[in-house]
Amino acid sequence: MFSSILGFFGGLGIFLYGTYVLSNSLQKVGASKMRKYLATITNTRIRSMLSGVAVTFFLQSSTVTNILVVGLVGSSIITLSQAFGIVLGSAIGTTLTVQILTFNIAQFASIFIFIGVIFIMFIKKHAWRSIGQISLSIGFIFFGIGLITSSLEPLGENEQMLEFLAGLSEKPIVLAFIAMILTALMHSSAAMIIIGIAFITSGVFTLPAVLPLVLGANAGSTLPVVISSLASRIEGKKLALFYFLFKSTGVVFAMTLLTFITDWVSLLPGSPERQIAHFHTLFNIAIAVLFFPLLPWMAQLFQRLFPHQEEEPSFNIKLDDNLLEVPEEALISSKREIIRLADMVQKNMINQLKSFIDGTHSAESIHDIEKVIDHSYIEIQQYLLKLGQRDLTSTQSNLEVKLLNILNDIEHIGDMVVRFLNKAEEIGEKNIVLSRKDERQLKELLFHIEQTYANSLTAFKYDDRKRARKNIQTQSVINQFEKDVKFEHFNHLIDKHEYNPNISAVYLDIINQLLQVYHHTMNISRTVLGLI
Amino acid sequence: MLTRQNYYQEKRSEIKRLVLQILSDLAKMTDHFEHYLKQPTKENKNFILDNENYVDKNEKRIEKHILEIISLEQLDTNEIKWLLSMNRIIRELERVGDQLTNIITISDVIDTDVLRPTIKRFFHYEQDMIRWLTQGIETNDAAKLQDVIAHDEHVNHLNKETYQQLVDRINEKEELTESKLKIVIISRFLERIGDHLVNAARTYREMIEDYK
Repeated sequence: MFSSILGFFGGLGIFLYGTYVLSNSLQKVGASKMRKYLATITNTRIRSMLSGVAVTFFLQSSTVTNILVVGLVGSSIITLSQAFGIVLGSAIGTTLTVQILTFNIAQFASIFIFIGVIFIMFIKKHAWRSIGQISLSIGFIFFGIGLITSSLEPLGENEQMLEFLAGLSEKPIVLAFIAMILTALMHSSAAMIIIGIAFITSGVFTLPAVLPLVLGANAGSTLPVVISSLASRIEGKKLALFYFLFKSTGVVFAMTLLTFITDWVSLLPGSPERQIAHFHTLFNIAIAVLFFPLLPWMAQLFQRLFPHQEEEPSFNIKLDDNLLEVPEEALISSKREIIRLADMVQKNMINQLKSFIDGTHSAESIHDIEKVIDHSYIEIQQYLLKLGQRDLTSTQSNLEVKLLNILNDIEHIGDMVVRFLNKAEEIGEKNIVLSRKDERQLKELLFHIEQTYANSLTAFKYDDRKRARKNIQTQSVINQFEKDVKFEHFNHLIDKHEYNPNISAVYLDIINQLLQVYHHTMNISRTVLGLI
Repeated sequence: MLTRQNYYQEKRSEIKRLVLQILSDLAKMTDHFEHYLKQPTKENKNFILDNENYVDKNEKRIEKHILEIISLEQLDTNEIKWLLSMNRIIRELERVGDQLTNIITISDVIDTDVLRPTIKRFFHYEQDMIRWLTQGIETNDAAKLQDVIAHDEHVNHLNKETYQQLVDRINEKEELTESKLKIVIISRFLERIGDHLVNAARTYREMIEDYK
């Protein structure tokens, strides 16, 4: 008995670990492609549902599909109605895995594990190692199923246990509730259903007793999604609520018709194990069909329940920790926030410097922007560093390095602008009057900074390497401009017989601070190009 | 741990890849030359000329990469030297391609049976030189590059031999056909090919030594 329990938990652990590694490996290989696929192919509801099936089956995780969908809705790439279609499809997609797992696959576990280990240990090429990881995880899943099934077999001979479970099987609501809680705890409906099937194989449960367990697993799979959505963006909340609603409606409906369903399931082809898998798939297809015509209406209803919030007057970073599960989406989200921050710096800081020189814009409002930059910098950097601790692909890692560099440059731009303001304020305090030429050149430098910043920002937004390259190649003009400004400034002082050292010190300090701003602005283009 | 892909390193690898591609195209040209001399058809001629076009195109691509790198980054002396060396090497290799097409242009009108043995003897050494140069650049192997330099002696010797044969014929008042006279010019082209390969090898070897 004790060894059975140990075997059961060992098998369950190996199974869960296998599904976790498999989903992670597939995500690394295909999340980016799947995102593009979802963005382009889901132009109709039926296509969005079918792509939901395909993407979930490929990624082996409805959670990852949902995270990708949240990102796509948040970026207005797909509509809410299409997103709901994908969610319906993803529920069907997960059942296909269970379909495969109900075949007698445990016997192939050792082959997959062996191939996986060979690829991981002896082949250096990254792509083959990834295939090895996928093979090893499939092997673990199969091995886990075998272990769960074999460990439950002795239970069929234990009378006390049989009596207890028989009593439990007469209370379908309790059984469904237990399955729901356990599924939520394991974050895997497949694991719960596999346990149910193992109960049938070992003769502990009959087919009718396992049906509530399957329904409970379906309801339980929505709970982690709902809980994690509490801290997520509005799009995440909408999708989680929809997922919960359509699954729980289906479960309640099926539970009330359980007696009829039991008779009907026994007519399905195959062994009782296969019948359970068929029931799981058909249940999800049925609720998808039921909800499918209602999607536009439901999308409208959700828009009313969660109205679009007006942009808050103060700048806040919106990063969702749930997205860290899918690095691809977390990076897209981080880039979006850095772009928002950079846009704000352009509008409220860089483009206001000329007005500040003219005395039509206050330094105070620019100081406030700098505080926002500092705060946002810390938040985004912490998020990116958390993301960096995950297992990133080299492309993802490269993008993360770029984002960290650009974020750092934006923060420095804020600091340099504040130093420029402080120096510029000395002009008034020390009653310094700049010559017309000095003032004109100061404004010319500001113009260059505005241009460079705009070009760098556009290059960053659209990953436009050509623009970044062109931008960098203009640097020699500014290098010469810097020399000319200083040269002409000294000549002007000599010409006017001006010996006040304050004029020169303040003016050159101002120019130097602006040049620092310029260099950090140029660094953004360098980073976009890959000079990192 | 984060990893990164540096644009400069990418460009540097691309330049090296293109140089090796040029060498591979030159090797193809010399391999096909004998075939062309046996059957001087338009297709065989075009195959060689097409490869020469690839050499020219890749030379321009490399130049473009070098210019771009210089305009983007403040490089240290060694890196600048590497880029300049590569620029010099591709010029030498481009001239090898030119010499090969020059031979084709001249050999168009003369009896290829007369020409074949001479070219074969030169290519016997020069194909080895191209192979060693490729290996030397690919693996930064100074010994292979030295082999290229040392082999030039044989090529020079062949050139002198060809001249001597012509002089002997004149002395013996033997009949001199146009083909036999043109062999002297072709021999000079073939000898120059050896010189360009040696220059390329020498440049790369010096660069490796400076890098150390």
